[in-house]
Amino acid sequence: MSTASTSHAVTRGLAAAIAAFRPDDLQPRVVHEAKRSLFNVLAVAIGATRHEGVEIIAGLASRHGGRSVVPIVGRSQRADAHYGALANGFAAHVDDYDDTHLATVIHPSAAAMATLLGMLAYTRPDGARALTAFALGCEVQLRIGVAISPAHYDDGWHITGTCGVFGAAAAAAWLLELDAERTTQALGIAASSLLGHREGFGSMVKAFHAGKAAANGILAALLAQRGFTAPPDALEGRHGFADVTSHAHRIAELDLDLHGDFELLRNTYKPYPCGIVAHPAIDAALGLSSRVRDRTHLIERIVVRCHPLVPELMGNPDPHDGLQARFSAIHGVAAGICDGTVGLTQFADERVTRDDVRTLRAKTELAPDAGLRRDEARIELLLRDGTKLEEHVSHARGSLERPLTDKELFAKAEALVEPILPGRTPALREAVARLADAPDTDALVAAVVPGATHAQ
Amino acid sequence: MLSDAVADFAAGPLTPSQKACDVARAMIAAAIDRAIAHSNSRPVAIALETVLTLETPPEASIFGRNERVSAQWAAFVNALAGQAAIVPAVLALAETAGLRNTRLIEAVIVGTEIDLRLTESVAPDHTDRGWDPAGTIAHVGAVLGAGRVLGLDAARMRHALGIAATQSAGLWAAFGTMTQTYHLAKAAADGVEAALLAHAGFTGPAAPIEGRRGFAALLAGRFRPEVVTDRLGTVFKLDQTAIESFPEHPGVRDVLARYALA
Repeated sequence: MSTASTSHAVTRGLAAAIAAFRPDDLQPRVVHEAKRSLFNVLAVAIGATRHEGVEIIAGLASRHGGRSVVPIVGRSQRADAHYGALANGFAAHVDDYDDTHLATVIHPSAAAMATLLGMLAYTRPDGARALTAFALGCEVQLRIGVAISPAHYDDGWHITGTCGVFGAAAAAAWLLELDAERTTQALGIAASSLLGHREGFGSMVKAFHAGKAAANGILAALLAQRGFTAPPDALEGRHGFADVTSHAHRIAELDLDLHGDFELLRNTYKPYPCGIVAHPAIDAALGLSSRVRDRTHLIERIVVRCHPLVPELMGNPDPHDGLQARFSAIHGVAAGICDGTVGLTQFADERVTRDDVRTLRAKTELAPDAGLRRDEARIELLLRDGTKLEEHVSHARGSLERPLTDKELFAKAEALVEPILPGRTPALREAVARLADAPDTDALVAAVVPGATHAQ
Repeated sequence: MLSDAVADFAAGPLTPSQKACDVARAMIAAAIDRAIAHSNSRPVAIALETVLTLETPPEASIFGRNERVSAQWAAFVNALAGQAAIVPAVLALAETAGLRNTRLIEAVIVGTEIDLRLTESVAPDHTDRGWDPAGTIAHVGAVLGAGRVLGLDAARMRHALGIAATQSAGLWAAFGTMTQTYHLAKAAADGVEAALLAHAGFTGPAAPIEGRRGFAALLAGRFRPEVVTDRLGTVFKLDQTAIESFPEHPGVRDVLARYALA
């Protein structure tokens, strides 16, 4: 039910909490998770830097962009704040390999990281301020997301973009040291810059949402800094953000206490580069793989019992390229069984279209079961000779109950970073680990672009 | 498919009436006139100061001022000042590309025609829900005009439409603040950017307007797609639009002359 108007000053309250926030206010646990999120998202963005969409944005940046001061991760080319934010946010999200806050399905780090790097055109934060801005950028998205979920996403909004704009505006405003009043204006301008629609899934537009959210947030903060005016109640007011984009919300109850628990502590990292709802099924497929990998031609039928969201979000039975395959749980399962591993290689166009997985996909069906949890799945595999194999996964790898360890995260990062920036993964880990004590962001930037790095 | 029909219309051969061309020309003059009149206003000064921090190449003019910036950001500032989205988007890209007269009139016509039809097709639900068409639908009009200037084919036009439609934003809550005119500015700039992206090969969804999670589903309850497609290309809403007459600012003629429209 939508509350049309309220006396509770949500936008002003949030802006005041942001403006008053100090790096020392970040709890040690939050610092730790923010570093894991930043490390993960930078590795993912580096891994995607040669994607055609990044090439296109980088091309526009060199033809139409301004002063090139913002690093594009994984590339030697720099860009202006706008195109830099676009490129980095896009790269971070395009492989669907970035972090996920499960309760809202927001991928918070893409826009937050892109905002932080984009703002290097305007500010020179020390490491602690950089990490704090990143954490705030994530947290503001998640707090707002919690207040409008699940109706907002169910209605068709890509919540990573819509909430991303607010997180980006908050992080940019905080880096510019805007007061509460101007931070309120920045959030108000952000509310009128929201994007986008879930219709864009399966095209480059989906990842564009994360990059543009960052660019819009930066623009909102820069305008607010100079006195551009906006409504003071853009989040909670009548015909404001929550009222218009969520048929059921609790925006009046938005948690404004930034000294309390952070939603960011509930961030998760994907072991597989595709929609997260398919992950338990892929775990089950990998569990079965060693038993049938050498005789997949003998497989008669595969039934994937899964949460109903799997066919809803990942229901494509026969993807024609890598991008479509990211929305195909059936492909994830088939590739997992054939290859015994699921990484970027399994979502490359040439792997998706090969005969072995195509044949196996045709034998695989999704059987939605409302009795299963979202991080649970069961696969029943029938061989031609009548043999029946089963694999049950109660909690997917990378879920809240089974988070990726720091070691697993490093291994994931290595697989992404090494092909682009050989030998760089340890330097990236160190730069992120030491960020809170660093005098500037130079070591961090040096770790994500080609060229010499600082000594470890 | 509705989005295909829109893209085909925006990219295809056009045979507008003389009246439609006259209306488009008058819209161009009016937007330039307003832009010059507001070129020193507070919101325009703030927007321009912000844009100048990017130090973009001097592709297009800011009307009534000497500064030149990239087409995307010229469209942003001129739309804020001119209180229009389609015309500033078209003019900024046309200046960059050196396009004049007819091509530019056609671009304004296709953008405006779809803008008018789409506005009618989602009325009254769209505005009742709290959306400002000057931010939302203006994104669609601006990108089609911009895409026409760039000469996008139908396929790329549909991608451009998708990249812009997903950015349709603008809340009634902003009324009475500077952010109200920002809605138009954002639509113009995003329209230019989306057209440039699609021109370079960036992709969007197949059915951005009519899809299950697309523009109409998210931003309107009731949607009458036939209002958009009915006799599209043969009957022009612009023919039924009155031409506003106004005392033109002396600088308008100079700007029009640059586009061979004086």
